[in-house]
Amino acid sequence: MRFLAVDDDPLFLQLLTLRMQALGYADLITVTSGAAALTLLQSAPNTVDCILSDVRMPEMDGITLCRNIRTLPAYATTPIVMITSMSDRSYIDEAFEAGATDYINKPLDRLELKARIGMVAQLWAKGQQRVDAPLSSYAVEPAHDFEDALVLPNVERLISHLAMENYLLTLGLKRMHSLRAFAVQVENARVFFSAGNPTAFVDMLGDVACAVLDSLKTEDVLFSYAGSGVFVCIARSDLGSESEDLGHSANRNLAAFEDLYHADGLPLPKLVFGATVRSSAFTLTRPTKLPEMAVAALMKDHYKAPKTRARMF
Amino acid sequence: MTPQQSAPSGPSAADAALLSVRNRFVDTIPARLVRFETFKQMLQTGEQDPVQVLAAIADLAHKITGVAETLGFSEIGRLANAVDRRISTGSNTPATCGRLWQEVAAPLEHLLDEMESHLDT
Repeated sequence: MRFLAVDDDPLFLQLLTLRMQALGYADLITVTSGAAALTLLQSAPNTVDCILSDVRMPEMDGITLCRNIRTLPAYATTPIVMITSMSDRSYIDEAFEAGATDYINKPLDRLELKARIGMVAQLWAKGQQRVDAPLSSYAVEPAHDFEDALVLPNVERLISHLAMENYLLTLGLKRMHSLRAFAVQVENARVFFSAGNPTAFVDMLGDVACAVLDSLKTEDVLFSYAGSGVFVCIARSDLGSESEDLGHSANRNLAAFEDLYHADGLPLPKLVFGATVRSSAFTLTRPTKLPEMAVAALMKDHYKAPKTRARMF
Repeated sequence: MTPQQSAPSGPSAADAALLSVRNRFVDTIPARLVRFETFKQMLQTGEQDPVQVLAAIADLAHKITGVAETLGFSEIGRLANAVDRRISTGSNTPATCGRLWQEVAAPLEHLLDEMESHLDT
């Protein structure tokens, strides 16, 4: 597994290299600027498996770098781990929105580094096992199973399940009181999956994500696709509408594609929205429980018993 | 996924490498002290935009924070972080930078004293 580390401090890069070597990750390239990192990645597609980037750097900061990396098709889903010190916390929201997968705190703690990189390594290993398959217009390889979470890199504000969990963990319980969450399910998602065309399934998910995003009156949201046709949305401000209204609006947005779906012999995706849930100190025992509550609310509203359960939970 | 097994060195070599980075960090202290003193002078004489000078102090302190604690210079890291945070979270505008500098001056002196103390070891 090959890493690229970006930091404007050569001393920190030297230190990081030592720590990574001690964990057995010896294949690490280092550069001291975002511009140098981009040049390297552009000239060598698919040669880096994970990027470790500082946040606060002169000229091109880590968030801009992250955003630029995500525009490179070869690195659209490559894990990007931001390396931050406490004073960079204000940048964390922006980093996840820009496509970061996780963050590591400075000063470097050996156990934290081991845990975080270990998680990325597992993700990478899983990706290595995937079979080659044609890419959809959302440029993502099809998952093996209906229940698998997918990353759709070309959809704004849609982040991976792993990044969503990491983002919530970053906030911690104390900083979650203003968050809201709801879940959306594509009721007939299995029809698309069973149609035997993985590309059509992924394209449908991308269309749904865009339709849901368009229905919201706020841009202060992050999504993830949890598998089994279920999306979870986290909002940091008032959604401006009840879930029922959001559902009507999103289904109306999708109706514009009806002819295209029918031409492919597929039905129009049908969306159901769960009630919006809010985090509170009394209901949350851990930050990652909020998406679970959103999915539970969806199941309670629309099904007497859960028919499916997204793999993330 | 199994991490690569090719860690090139044993514990003693790793310790030596870490010591080498620590020594390099200490080597950077004189130049950094000079830079901080230059920034202080700029703020006192007003020959440069004080907002930019304070931002430069925060950047330099931030860079020290990132590496000092990991290398075992925890007090330097703590003090540098305090300077960085005071500036980065404070109001640094032409109208307020004078007051901000008054707030930062003492923590910065503590940082400089602590950095200087490691030059003799």
